[in-house]
Amino acid sequence: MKHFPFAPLAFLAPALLLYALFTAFPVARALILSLQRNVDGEIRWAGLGQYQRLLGDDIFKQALFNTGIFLVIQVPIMLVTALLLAVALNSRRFAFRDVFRSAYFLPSIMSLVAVGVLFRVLLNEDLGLVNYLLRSIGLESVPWITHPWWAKVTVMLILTWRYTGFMMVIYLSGLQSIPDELFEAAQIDGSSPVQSFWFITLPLLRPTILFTTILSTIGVLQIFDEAVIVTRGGPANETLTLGLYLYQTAFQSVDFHYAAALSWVLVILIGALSLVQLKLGEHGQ
Amino acid sequence: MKKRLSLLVAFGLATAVAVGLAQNSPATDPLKGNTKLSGEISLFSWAEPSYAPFVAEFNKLYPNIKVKFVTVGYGDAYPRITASLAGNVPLADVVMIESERVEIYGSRFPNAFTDLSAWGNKWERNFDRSKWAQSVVKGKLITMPTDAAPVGMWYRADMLEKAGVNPSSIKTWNDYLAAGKKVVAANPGVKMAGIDSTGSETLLRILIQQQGSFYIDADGKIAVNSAKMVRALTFLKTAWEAGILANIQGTDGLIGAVKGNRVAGVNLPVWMIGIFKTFTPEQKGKWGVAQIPALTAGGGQSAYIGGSSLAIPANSQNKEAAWAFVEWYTTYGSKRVLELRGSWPSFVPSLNAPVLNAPDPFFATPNVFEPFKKSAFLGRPLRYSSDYDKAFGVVVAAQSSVLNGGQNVQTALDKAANDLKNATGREIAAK
Repeated sequence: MKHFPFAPLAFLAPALLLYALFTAFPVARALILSLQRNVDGEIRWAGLGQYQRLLGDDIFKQALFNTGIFLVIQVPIMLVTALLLAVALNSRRFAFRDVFRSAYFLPSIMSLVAVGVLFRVLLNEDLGLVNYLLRSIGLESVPWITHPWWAKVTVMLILTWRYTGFMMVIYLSGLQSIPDELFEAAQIDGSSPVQSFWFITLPLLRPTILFTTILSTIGVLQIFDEAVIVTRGGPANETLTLGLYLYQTAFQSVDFHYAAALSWVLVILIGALSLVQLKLGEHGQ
Repeated sequence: MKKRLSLLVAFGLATAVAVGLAQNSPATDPLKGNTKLSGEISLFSWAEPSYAPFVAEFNKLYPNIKVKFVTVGYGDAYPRITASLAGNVPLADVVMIESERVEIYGSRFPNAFTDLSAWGNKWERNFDRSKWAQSVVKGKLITMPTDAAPVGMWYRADMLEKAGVNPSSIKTWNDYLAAGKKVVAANPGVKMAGIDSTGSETLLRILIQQQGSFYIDADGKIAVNSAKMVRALTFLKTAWEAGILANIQGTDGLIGAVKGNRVAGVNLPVWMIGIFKTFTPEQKGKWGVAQIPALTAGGGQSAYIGGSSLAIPANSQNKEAAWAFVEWYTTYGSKRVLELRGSWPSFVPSLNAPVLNAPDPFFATPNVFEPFKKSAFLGRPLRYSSDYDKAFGVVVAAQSSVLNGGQNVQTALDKAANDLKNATGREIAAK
């Protein structure tokens, strides 16, 4: 007779309980919220009404579009930069590489409040240091915050500044797991450094690259802080992201039900994109 | 042990007597006070200095009520208030809420606030009508108004003089525009005023209030694309394109622009007095203030930006003591708040405070309060509506797309109206 496996369950119980309480419950609760609406304080059943609202919501579409722009432009730039930095800083010939590694990693551990203050001061259009330097070399001031396109660039710059070092560290750990013998053998066979990178480093880093791609996709879809601290979604919602719109809807407009619907759309989007990336990753192997 | 027990019994009796008294007689009076009311109340705000200095005076009338403070940063305040109301978790006995957000909360959480009507309605005729209207949601008085925030045309007397502009000659916004061009020409690197083109709409809010209108009309319909709004935004666009307005972002941007001598003026409320004195003491004697210009000669010169109020959540355990403080602070106490903090009272009798007639050498105009006395009252209810934050959002976006994105005024405002319709389900008013 087989006993019910109580022991493993008992060991898992604390983790399961925490998961149920702080992840499963809120997720389920959000789903229920998204199917209701608040009419003068009275909670009523709304069916898919909140999701229907999304279809006609131009601000939501704008947020989706902005997030898409960040995803398509910023993520590739950041990942390629991080990979090149990692390869460079992995080389033993590089002097002070530990100093550089730390320097590049530093932004990702900075407090976002400090980041916000820093960039607001640097990018102030009238009195900021960056525009002052641009003017002093004869260039024109850049409307970092007020111009629809430049404001997007500003957000992407901050994202890149903040997370490239983090991705670089992940690539570094990936690179260190590639045995040196492979490179030595390739060198003996007459392979150039570029060929080694292309035919050895990249294929062996594939799982790491996949991991960072999924990580940054999820990150970009959830951008909130970077947009709120410097541009506050402006000008005219040009840097409004899904995360920021969700926050505004829930905590400024106090419309939890619509915000819950937004959050579920975000969940589905992230899930779908991650799945596609995983499939593509498998396909290549 | 026995002694402790008898003490407990005595205390219990005393409490019972106090409660009994409280229920039978009018327990609060902001002039006489009540020594029998007791207990501890907490006050949640992001502005402790606006309350803490007055507790001692309150305690002269109500010696047995202890007031303690729960203070958070402004950015954290509303998320905390929202979470507390949504989850019915007690936050404090008294909660500070800006007037523009009262109806948002009052309509989403109609039972989360103590209805103060029975206690407070007797004060209605003494309050600024526009402010009182902001405290009443669906017939319930859910907050008491503290400060009002009438707007003035602040100007740098030295910079206007350099341009040969006499501030008293600025009667209309067109005069303002013409004066602005002169000031900008005579003071290199200086703009006539600053606005936050991407983050706020203070000047637009002034221009629409002056026309007796707002974003959502008295029937609850959307009016952000009304002819009056078109007129307001068109003026703003003209001024922006004439190059007389600086773009300043947030309060830090405002203070930076003022301190850096980049603006010859701001069109903001009476509380700028505090900003000038705190952040730019070196500009003493340079700032003057007048009534804001009218859209057409002889037109309205009143507008409000901001102002707050105090609520008592329904889950407060000591409502009567909380009311004692709220009542005193918003009525007779407001005179002291005006004297000490320069905070403009919504309680009209406090406007007889001598400080309003006293000359202040910090400013270039003899009596800095004079223009506010003239333009303080809209004389009509000014309601923000339960969707004010959404209206604010679409209006700021429209302003920004016109000023920064070069969009047509009517197109931008029509889009704003449609976005607001989608977000709120409200109808768009006929133009």
